[in-house]
Amino acid sequence: METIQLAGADRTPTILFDFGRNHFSLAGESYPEDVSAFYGGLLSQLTKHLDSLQGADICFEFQFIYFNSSTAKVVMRLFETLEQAAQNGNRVVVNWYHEEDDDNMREMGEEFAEDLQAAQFNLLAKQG
Amino acid sequence: MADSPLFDQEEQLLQRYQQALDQLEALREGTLQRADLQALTGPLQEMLQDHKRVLRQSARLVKLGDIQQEKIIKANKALAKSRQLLEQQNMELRAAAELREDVDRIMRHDLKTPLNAIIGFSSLLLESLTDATQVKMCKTLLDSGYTLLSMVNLSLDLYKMERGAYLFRPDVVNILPLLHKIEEANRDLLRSRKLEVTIMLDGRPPESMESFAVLGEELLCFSLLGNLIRNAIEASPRGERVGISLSSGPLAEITIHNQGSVPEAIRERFFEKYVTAGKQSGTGLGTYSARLMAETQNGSMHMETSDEQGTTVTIRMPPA
Repeated sequence: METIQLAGADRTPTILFDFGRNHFSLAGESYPEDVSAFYGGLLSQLTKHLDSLQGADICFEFQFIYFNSSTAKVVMRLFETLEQAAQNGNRVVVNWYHEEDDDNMREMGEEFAEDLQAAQFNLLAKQG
Repeated sequence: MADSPLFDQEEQLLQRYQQALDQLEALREGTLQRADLQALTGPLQEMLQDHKRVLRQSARLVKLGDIQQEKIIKANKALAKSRQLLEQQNMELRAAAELREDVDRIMRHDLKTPLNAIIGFSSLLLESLTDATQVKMCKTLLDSGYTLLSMVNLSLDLYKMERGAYLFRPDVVNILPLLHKIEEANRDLLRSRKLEVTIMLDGRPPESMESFAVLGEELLCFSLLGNLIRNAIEASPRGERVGISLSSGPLAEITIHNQGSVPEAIRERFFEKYVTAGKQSGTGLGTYSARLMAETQNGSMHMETSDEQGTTVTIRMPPA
């Protein structure tokens, strides 16, 4: 599967889905006008790819500054998919970044991570 | 909701509920055997688990929504606070600027009254003095009084120019004698810094009695060139040359060049008020007032500077 790389825009985040290296990241702000149209294709490609893996090292990085409630639903689905991949025998690392003084973003990371069991979750504070 | 891939899990659950209902209906109508009821239990238990999961997710989404809302509220509060602070600072800055202008204006007017006494009485005194030393001292006093008066008057004129209230009275002004006067006034500084001033007219040294005339006011031309040439002398590295070139054309062009460069920090704001760098007694008014005077006389001014080429200030004015 080819790498997907999208530059961040006004309402959408910077996206890097490197299927070759199994390295994925979402960064910036996310409040697209149509969340399903924006994330729908990405979600199904990712799910299809992760379902095909076994014994792989997978890393997903979230570096959000702000996201809306519809995006929260997408993130929830991503966490489910990643947990499933971990339960299928892959080594999955989820890194959740937040600004050092952004307690809310940290709290949201913790909330999302609650259902993760097989996947490894890291909360990382960005310096400065 | 049905078209959204984000809600496909919920959609599937609804469909499964519908199927279960259909089967119960079939049982009631007798088209389904009681024994088949057993087959319904397993799927219903799965649906219950899925439903619980969906409800848990919904609760979590509500909680996440609350956290996001809190984040927005915090950001809004911080924004309102900084806006308030900014408004306060703006108000203070405006008040300070008004106060400064008031003080400036009052100072200019108030300076003229005691100057009348200095100039008037020293003139009277001069008439009655006979001792040569005392006459010389009194003349210096009178000259200084007049210099101060013309400075105060120019300062009042600049104030009017800033507000567009200056009444411009153009006349034919020969620039060459003004340049010589300025060079003369700066002779000591030129000597101490081992600098040389060269004046060129259309690419050659001007002949005596030759003229380079513009349409302006003599005092304004004298002041603006005086400021710029003084700046060039002060900024020039020792032992170098300050070059002044006059070029005729559709617009009379005067360029003043020195080998020093304008500090990076003020290049963009060279002609702005109160901008100065690296000078002990700089007020930041020299180049600002020079441009104001050029523009008042329907002229223009610009500056180019680099470490390699030095600094060139160009003044363009309507020719006479």
